[in-house]
Amino acid sequence: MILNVSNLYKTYTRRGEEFNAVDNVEFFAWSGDFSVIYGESGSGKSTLLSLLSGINRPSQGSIIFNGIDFANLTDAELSAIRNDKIGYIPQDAVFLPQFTVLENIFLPRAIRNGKKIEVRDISELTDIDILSKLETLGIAHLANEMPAELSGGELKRASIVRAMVNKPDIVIADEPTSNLDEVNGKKVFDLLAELVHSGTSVIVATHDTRGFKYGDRIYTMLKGKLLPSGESDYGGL
Amino acid sequence: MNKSDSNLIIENYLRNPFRSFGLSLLIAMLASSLLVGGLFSFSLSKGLNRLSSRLGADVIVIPQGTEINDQSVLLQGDSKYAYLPEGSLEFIRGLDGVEIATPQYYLTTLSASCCDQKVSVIGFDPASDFVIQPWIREVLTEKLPKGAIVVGSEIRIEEKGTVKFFDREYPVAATLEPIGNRLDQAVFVDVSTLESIREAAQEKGVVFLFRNENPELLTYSSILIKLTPNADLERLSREIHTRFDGVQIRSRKDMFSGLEKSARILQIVVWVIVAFFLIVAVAAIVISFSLSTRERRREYALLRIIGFTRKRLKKLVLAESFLVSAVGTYIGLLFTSVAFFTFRIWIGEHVGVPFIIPATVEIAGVYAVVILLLHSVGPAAVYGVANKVSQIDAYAALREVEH
Repeated sequence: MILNVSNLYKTYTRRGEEFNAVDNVEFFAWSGDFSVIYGESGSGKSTLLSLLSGINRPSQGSIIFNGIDFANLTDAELSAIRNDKIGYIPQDAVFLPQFTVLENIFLPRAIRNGKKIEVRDISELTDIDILSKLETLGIAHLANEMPAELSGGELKRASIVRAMVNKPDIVIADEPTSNLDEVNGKKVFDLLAELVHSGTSVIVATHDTRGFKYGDRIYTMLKGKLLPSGESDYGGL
Repeated sequence: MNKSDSNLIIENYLRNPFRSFGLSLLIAMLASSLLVGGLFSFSLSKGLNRLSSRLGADVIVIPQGTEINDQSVLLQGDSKYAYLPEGSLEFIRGLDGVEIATPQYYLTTLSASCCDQKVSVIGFDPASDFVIQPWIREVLTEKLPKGAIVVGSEIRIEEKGTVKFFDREYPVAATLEPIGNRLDQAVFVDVSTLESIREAAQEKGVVFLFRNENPELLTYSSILIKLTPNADLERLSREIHTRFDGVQIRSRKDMFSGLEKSARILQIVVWVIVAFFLIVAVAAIVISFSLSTRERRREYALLRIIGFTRKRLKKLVLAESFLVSAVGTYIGLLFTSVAFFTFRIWIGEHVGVPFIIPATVEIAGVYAVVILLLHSVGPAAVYGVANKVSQIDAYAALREVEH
């Protein structure tokens, strides 16, 4: 088991009143496992993913990643895991505007290795795996552009490749197909499925019902609670 | 700091060159003012100290109604054709409270091989002099040979070791240490050599104007007095004024208080300018970095997501401000150094107070302090901002923009 989550809470205060954005969540994932979390906006999907990816700390509960409890890790240890073992794809793609798309993609590797960004131009790219992913998602020809030159959908696809650059054990994607048309949305799910076949665990939060056919396990998020498929008001989706 | 972080910092500096360079320019101005302030302070205090140690006289008597500046005769070497009344030296020597009184003679000439500017020739009486000869003894152990001269530090000596006045050559026995004023461009001679120069001038048709009736008599331009321990300066002044019109009497205290006041005002002005630039630079850096970090919250969130620790994020912001400071510091130091050392003689002549360029070690010390201070200005100014950035809630930062 790569991820084991139990009794997980994230509590926020809104207008003086506390509420649980994540409410007593139990969750687990194995290597080579595709989990799809479905839910409406505000249901707590993104908050849950932020906790699972280690960029947010839970109010209560435990997240055990590869046998390590996040709660016992220092900021440096958790940051190293985020860099190397977890590929997080945020809902809105964020890029450093002073670097090209390709440089942005290789940024996590540069940070891990403590070296300058190794590839400046797509013609110098020797990492066949990354090149193939860029081609699969149809953005190889945009790799040398600055982020400001790309559309939201193109950036989204580039951020998916970036999440995979360090070959993480788990990829956590928050609405990876938002901003994408049907063809590109399918390409993204196909790519994630490919990762699963190679042994990576994938967790996707989505509105997109197309993702259901890829999922080994489907969950529904409702008011902070994570329900296995068939137990929610959306049962049978 | 590893290469990936350096890469981020440099790219970020270049990303908004107007902002970055604008801030660096402010730091450059601060560096410039701080360097000038440091060098000025050093130069002025060194000049005053050197001058104070050189001045052996308690009182100086000079002609009134000339263009001679109060302090410039002895302290600045600024001499015009002005001479004291005949008999004044003998009278002063006879007064109570006068331990020694010695005359000095000033000629100013353009006709010298050493210099493009006016040269002051200062003559002293070897028998009674207690001011010039101690300076000479600092650089010349034996007695000044007959006909030889001693020159200020800025007098150019010919290859054969002479300086020529009105086609007559005079061997240079020694060069004085710099004093930081126009005395560095003066030539010091004893009375017999001064007479020789006067004769040479006369042969060339140049007649120095004397106010005395006898044009052949070499008359003195000032009288330097050393007082006895319990001398009454007021009474002495009264007696001299009663006997002679057209003289003015200045005590060492008067002369130095004026100089010290000028030097102090100059230093205050310089340090006020430094403080102004410091405040402006710090304020600009803090405001600019605060605004910039607000705009870049999502970028910082991204860096957290892809593995930056809080500490590393803080270091990144501090390093960016360090780069702004370092670039500005070196630009400022480079331009100021070129300007300062190119125009140091002009500055020395125009500040109106003794001004000596510090020794190399002292200059290096001033540079080291300026570099150290200014490299830390940026990081110190943005320390609070960097702390805030390090505490950023990456998830919240992403969502703030999303919704």
